[in-house]
Amino acid sequence: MNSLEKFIKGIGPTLGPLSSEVVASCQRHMEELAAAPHTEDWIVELHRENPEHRELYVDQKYGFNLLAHAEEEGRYRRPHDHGLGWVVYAVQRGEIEMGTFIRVEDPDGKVRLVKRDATRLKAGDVKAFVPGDIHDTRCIKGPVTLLRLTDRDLLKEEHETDRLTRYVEIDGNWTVKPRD
Amino acid sequence: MTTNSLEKFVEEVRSAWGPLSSEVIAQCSRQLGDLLKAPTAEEWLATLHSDEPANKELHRDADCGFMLLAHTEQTGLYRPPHDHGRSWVIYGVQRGEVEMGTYIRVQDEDGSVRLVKRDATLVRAGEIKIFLPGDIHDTRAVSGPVTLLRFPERDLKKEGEEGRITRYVDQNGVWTVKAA
Repeated sequence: MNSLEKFIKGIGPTLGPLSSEVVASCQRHMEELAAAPHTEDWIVELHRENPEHRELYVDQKYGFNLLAHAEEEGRYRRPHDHGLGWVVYAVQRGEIEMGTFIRVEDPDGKVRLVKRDATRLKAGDVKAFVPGDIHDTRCIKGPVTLLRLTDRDLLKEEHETDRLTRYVEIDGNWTVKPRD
Repeated sequence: MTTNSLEKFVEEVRSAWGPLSSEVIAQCSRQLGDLLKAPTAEEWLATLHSDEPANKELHRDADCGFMLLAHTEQTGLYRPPHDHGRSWVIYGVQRGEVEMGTYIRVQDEDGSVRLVKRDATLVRAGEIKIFLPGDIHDTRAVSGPVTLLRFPERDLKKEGEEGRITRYVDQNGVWTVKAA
């Protein structure tokens, strides 16, 4: 049994609705997965093919998704939330910086983001984002292999429910896209 | 003209001061980080180490409203999850180690409120941690004695007296709001 199979077997019984215990378990399992030997076939394949988006596992009971993403150095993903979803990232290879933000509304009704901090994640590090969290990512040292465990299909969350917000930069401020 | 690191901190923060923004947070974080590098021979710091006060006001800024407080904590001291009302706060560990957990507040379908823990970070001497309005966190002194510098945007005692700060209580292993 390789590390991915162990991950699937181990994490399944611990999944469930959002709670401190489920988030902690997901982080622990993602840490173990990120530490898998680079010689395992599934990792060799990820490193060779560098897929931008690959589904590794879908939990049939609760709908959790495990994905792998390859990113080149310098790749920046602007601030966004995950709708109702929550996510645990694990860096398997390379280094990535993740910034966190809050959304504030000024008295005139304008929305802008305020940056809280930025954390540099190295191979083996994990980071959780719970519902409402806003973050960006920048690939600092590539190629990055990023493992992403989401509690639901975030593509559906974005395209079918419109609950996911991606922010745009206007005059040096991160804000919401103006309505057409 | 400034004479020690504490006075320099106050002067630099005053010149960077303004409404909540990414720039203000970044500048203030940098200044608190610099203050943590102050030589232990400086009188204000030597006094903190010798007197070990549980709570000492180092500065209250009459014009800008921010404060700087020092706290001495022994190993094991735990402060349950709380927010800071409308304020942002930057913590700096000057001596020892503190674990800081972060949470989100969720409301279940039956209306009950509970916290979900996002993560926990070990903050070592020389490191800072930023909490923005709405953030919820706890602290546990892991390696004491801890000298903690706390830099709130405003007087949190007053914020508490006005009923804007929520402190969570543990009920059957779940952090929740105090029953009315």
